[in-house]
Amino acid sequence: MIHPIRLWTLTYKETSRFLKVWTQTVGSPVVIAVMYFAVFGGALGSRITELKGVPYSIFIIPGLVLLQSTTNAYMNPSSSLIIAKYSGTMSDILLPPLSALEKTLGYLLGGLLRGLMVSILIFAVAGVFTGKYMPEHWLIFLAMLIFSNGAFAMLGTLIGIWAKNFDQISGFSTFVLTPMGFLGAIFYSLDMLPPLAQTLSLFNPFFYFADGLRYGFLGVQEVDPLFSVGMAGLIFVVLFGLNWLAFFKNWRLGI
Amino acid sequence: MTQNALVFNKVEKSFGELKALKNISFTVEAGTFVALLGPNGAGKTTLINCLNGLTKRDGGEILVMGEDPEVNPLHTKMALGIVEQELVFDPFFTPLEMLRMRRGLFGLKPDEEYVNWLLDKLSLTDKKNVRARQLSGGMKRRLMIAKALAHKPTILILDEPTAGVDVELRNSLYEFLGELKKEGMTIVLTTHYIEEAQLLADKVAIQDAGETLIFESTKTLLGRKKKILELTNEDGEVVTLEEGEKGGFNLEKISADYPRAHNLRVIEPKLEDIFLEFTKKK
Repeated sequence: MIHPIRLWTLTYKETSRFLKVWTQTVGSPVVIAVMYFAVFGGALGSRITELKGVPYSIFIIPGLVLLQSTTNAYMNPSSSLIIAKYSGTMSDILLPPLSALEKTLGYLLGGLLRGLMVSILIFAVAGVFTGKYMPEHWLIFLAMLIFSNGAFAMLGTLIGIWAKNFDQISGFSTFVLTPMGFLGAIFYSLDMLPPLAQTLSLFNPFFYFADGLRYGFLGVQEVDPLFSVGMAGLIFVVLFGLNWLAFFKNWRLGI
Repeated sequence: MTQNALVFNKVEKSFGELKALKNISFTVEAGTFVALLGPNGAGKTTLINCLNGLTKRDGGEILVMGEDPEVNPLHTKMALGIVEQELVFDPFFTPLEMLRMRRGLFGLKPDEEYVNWLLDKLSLTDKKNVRARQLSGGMKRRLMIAKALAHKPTILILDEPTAGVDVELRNSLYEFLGELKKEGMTIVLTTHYIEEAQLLADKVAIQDAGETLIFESTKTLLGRKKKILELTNEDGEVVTLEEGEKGGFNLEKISADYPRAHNLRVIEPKLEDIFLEFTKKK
């Protein structure tokens, strides 16, 4: 059951929390992305001219956007939940009659909106550097932005529910998500890798997020873009279901 | 017929080997002010957490305004306003934002008039746009109460609301709670300040080691202990005399026994003494 006022309020809470400290939450990833463009696009781009028929500085845009936006989509609910556990404000969510679906959607929308905001800003900054602003395939572009940021918002919520301290939140990000992102073919194409690494990359979910978004934005891809959209959608749906179950069972949230 | 606001019937809860609640049974009628007393670890907070659904009981029955919180949480959560023991706030928001959000999270439309009334009643109007972390301890405590009342509950549960609060603020809280009671609100107060239970509560439950030792009206409970007459006799010794079986003192006999008695003082029974008797016995 979804009560519109309850869902709106939880979403407002999760969104205004990051907007109040926008320099850290939205400003910082944009500055980092600018640094990446300067180093990878500027310095390396002059040596690697093209990949898949696209200038290197443009090829890396979707991957760089994802690297920053998904990290933010992950951090929004995970930090919100762990702060609530530490400060004791978890009861703000547990005492009102919020349903499991409302909680899942509220945390999803908070993380998703932060991820999309970071995405749009980095695409805009990238446009200033490269002159490339508009996506080639709007529908797939939007689907990939929503599924990838949504999946990471749901992953952040799940880790936030599971974690007992900040170390577990940042540890998961540092030791799992960041390597997964960097090894997800965001700075290179698969055919630059040895065969074994190519095969291993296909088991990395981040590869499908990056490849699908690259197809939507640039029109080039490693695998069938519909397969990437399907994989991203499936990961998103599974994580959404797990979160709903966790909230429904009050897993690691009750006393 | 008076409606029962809260019913506890043979409620049990264990955390591993520890039996936090043992066969808890008592009923709180609507509009009553109940003080739930007990030393640390008595199970008071566990009982409150079973009420609000944060903790699942192992056995027995709990009814909040006629509904089981584990069966119909929507109904029971709307009925309950809970002031937690810890001063906990989301550091990102102001009191005004917190109260607005609290109503929203309960699915209620904005009601600025009521929210401003609450802020005014709890002397928070001047600080309504300041982030909660900048509030003093007393202000934070008052904000906790405002949050619990934001959705207009019918039952208010206060878990040690006056811990670490100065006398002036404590008195203003008592006054406010008195107003809420007059309006028909059911109030359950857990506290270590026994004198505030004696001052405010219609009924008192004494709990220790997970058991309810007694649940009686404050008057009946105080009647269990006799008044004491203290006097100084002609030799300068302090003498204490207990009131008779039927109450009162035999003044004729006292004046005969102590013709030059002075410094006479009647000591009223204190809930604290009764509380200590029960918990020591336990």
